[in-house]
Amino acid sequence: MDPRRAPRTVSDPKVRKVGFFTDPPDRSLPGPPDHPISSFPTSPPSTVDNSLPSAGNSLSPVMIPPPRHSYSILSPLRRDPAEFFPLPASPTASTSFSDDVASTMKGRGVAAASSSLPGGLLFDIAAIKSAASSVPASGLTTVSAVNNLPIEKGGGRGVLFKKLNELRKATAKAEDGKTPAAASGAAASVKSGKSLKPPPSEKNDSAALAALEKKAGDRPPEKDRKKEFPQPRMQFDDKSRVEKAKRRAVVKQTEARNRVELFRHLPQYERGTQRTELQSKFFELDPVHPAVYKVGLQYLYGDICGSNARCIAMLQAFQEAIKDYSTPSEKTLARDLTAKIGSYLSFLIECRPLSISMGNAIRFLKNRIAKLPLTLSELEAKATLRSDIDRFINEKIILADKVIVKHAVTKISDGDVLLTYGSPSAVEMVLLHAHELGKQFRVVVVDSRPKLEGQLLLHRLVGKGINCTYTHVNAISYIMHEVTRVFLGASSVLSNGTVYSKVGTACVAMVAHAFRVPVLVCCEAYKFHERVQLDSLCSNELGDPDVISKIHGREDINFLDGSTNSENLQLLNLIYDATPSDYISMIITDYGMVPPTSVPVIVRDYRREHLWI
Amino acid sequence: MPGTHTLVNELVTKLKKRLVQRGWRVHRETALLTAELLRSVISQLKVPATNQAETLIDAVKSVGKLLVAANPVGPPSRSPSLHAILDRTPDSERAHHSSRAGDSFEGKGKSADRNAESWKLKHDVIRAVNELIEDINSCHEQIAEQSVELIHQNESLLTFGRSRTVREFLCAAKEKRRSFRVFVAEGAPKYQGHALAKDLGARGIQTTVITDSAVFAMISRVNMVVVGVHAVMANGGVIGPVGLNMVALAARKHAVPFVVVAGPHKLCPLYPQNPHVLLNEMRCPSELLQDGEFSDCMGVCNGSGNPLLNVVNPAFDYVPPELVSLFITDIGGYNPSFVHRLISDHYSADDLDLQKRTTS
Repeated sequence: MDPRRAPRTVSDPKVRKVGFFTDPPDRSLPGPPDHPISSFPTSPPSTVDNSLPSAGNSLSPVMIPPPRHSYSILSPLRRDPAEFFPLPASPTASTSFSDDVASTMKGRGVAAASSSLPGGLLFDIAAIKSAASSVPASGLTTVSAVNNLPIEKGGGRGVLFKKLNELRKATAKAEDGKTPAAASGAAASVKSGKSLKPPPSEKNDSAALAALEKKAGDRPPEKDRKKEFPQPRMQFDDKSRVEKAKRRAVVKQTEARNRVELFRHLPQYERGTQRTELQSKFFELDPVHPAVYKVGLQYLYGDICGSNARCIAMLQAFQEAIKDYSTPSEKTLARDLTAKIGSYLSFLIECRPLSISMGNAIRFLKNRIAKLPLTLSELEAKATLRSDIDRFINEKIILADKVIVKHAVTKISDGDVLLTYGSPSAVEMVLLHAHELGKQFRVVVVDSRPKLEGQLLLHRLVGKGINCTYTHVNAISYIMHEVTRVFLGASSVLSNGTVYSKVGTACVAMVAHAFRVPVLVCCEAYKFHERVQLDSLCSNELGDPDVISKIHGREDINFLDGSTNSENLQLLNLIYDATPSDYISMIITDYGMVPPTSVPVIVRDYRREHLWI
Repeated sequence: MPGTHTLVNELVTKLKKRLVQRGWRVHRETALLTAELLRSVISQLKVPATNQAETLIDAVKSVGKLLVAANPVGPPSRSPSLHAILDRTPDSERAHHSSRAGDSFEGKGKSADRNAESWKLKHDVIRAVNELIEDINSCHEQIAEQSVELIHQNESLLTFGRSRTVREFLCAAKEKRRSFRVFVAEGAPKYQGHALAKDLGARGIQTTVITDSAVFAMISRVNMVVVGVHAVMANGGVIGPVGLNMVALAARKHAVPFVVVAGPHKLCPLYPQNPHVLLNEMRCPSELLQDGEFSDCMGVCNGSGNPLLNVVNPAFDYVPPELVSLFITDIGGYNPSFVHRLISDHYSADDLDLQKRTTS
């Protein structure tokens, strides 16, 4: 066996595919033309080994075995994203792969039933899981990955375990695996298929592949680790997928007419029609709990801003929904509740794409639902969940903020001039606390269009008696020479140390770096994510372009009135941007003050036990 | 002379009230007005028999001092053009003066000749001023001709704020059938970028308006940054609209060329010293904060009576020469390190003392 292949127990077959699957016509490797998977349960490992290379390149590597076991119908789950959202960028191998999946799945009519499967799966495999835990991580892959990997440990049985484990992971992960994308809340997509953005993108695939390869080392936690690997998100430039998603959408949204070419992969809708649509459909949206509906509208209108606030609002709405939830007959709580949460999520995504912190919270919630002991009654289960949500909010957000404040005030000394951008909640707490401690410092609040969030922070700081200077983002070169420290907030910190936050943060960090001013980012650890991103364009959120032409408070400036619809002129309203890690001096989290390079360590090794994922 | 006084006062008032800063032609207008004013001053000047050149120089310098005093803080928008004109005319005057010095001792009796010569001197000076005006008027076409060498196909360009030179630059490339798209950063707090974007869109160029905060995000997908500036300093640094330094830093980080297009009236013989403070101007804070919303904060003071809330709204930004890749002028493209040679073409070293700011 090729020793290089041994550690590669990649959970996501599509990830593997990108690294190993070239054009189907380039099938240079020899191998049996028929599907190796079908031979798995019976063939000894050696033959499977030989067939792997070819399987890797075959057009239909993911051959779902004939339904001789119950688990076989579970395998489609793992490839749900592939079915619904074939890769736009790698049409050759991946789409053929997913087409096959699609065909096989459709043949069984499982596609629509996916929403009800996960819970059931857990119970089916639960018993097997203990047995399967002895199977090394190499077995924990989806079927297609199984094709690639040497099934060195026990042919048939290993395959069975692999599939079961993969499905177990798939169920728990399929929901949450897709959520942790900034501009996508794909959690629901797999199940209800109503969301708009699940599936794979090449960039993420190769990154994930590389990342996962390194994880070969430790075995037992590896299977858990794999399932946390974020699914690539749906790209909007794939027409067929977008069409399918639109058909399933709860709310009809009209796409913005004048879209910027560079951002075809991100959704952009006319904000005006969104609101009227949602309002008109209120009474038709039976499955949406009123608390969730309210939160969704608050997102849509921009009443709730900031990742912490949005996350807390969403979790509290879900608490309400869980309180009012009752399991329908003939269904299990875990399965049905997860489905309901999924539908709520798809509604929220249509109001506004999920932030990364919300995605992580959803993963946590679904994990807790999945881990509910079977012996609990419905009331107890609901109470447990609600207390879990409370605990999450308390420990991961509120207490974390307290720890961050405690660490950060040590970095503020008398006579400092601190600069902050926008209105980050964590930084505001730090400044207020430092002021209470009696430190003498000045604050420079930098603000930018179109949201002008800095004015809110300015109100609050001046109200507390802190000496403030207010300026706009263009003037940072002017003001930076008198600044001693820069405190920034973050929507998320990605695994390569990139800070993903409100647009303009990168500019501030860059200028601070040019003037040799240290940049400190205050971010709770629950916002960290395994994703990696190099620039601000691959994943972002597009806001309402009309706010760019209207300048608040300056009605004399209206050059762009009426020209938003001319065909040569477009307005672009980016919401987020990615700050490279070399501009960041330190990240202050509830795990302490760490350099940006420690983020993947926290994500991988520490979150597991603390987030109970 | 009374006629010239009126003219001078008019221009001084205009500069003081910043009335010349409307529309597209801020710097050109200023330069042209100054040149025309000087032309009328010179033509109306009664030149005495002796030391005519010096009289002219003195007259021009006194007018110059008045104009500089009118706009003391901001050399950017005005003094480059002023200096160009003021110093070029003394140049031609000096040439005549030195040649006349030798003759003056000999030709004392030739009053008729001297009258003719004095008329000739003024005529020459006025002709030099006319040439200068011509240069200023035609610099855009010459700069725009060079756009074809810099913009080829399927390019993305980024520009900041509004500049007529940049607009002509881009339109010339468009006429030569180059396909490109432009990202225009709006340029708070004046938001001139909106006007430029509308204009470019009307002329058929694919334009996208972005906020200034999105510059770093977009610059990774941009091939070139083209900007117009207020003034080009002698060391190759530029004074531009506020926010330009941020754009230049982002361009340097992503290895995107930062091209400055500037006509000759933008050249300034000053070497910048503490440019952020000395070569800057503060604008009204109400452009950033509306008083109505902040009325409760505006009056709050801390213990020592200092207000708690300060609003900083600078108008200009300095970009050091190491961030600029190229200058496109009407006489070609140059490195920042070459700018001091260009300046010596236009200015004579004797006339730099006009910059002594009169702290009135």
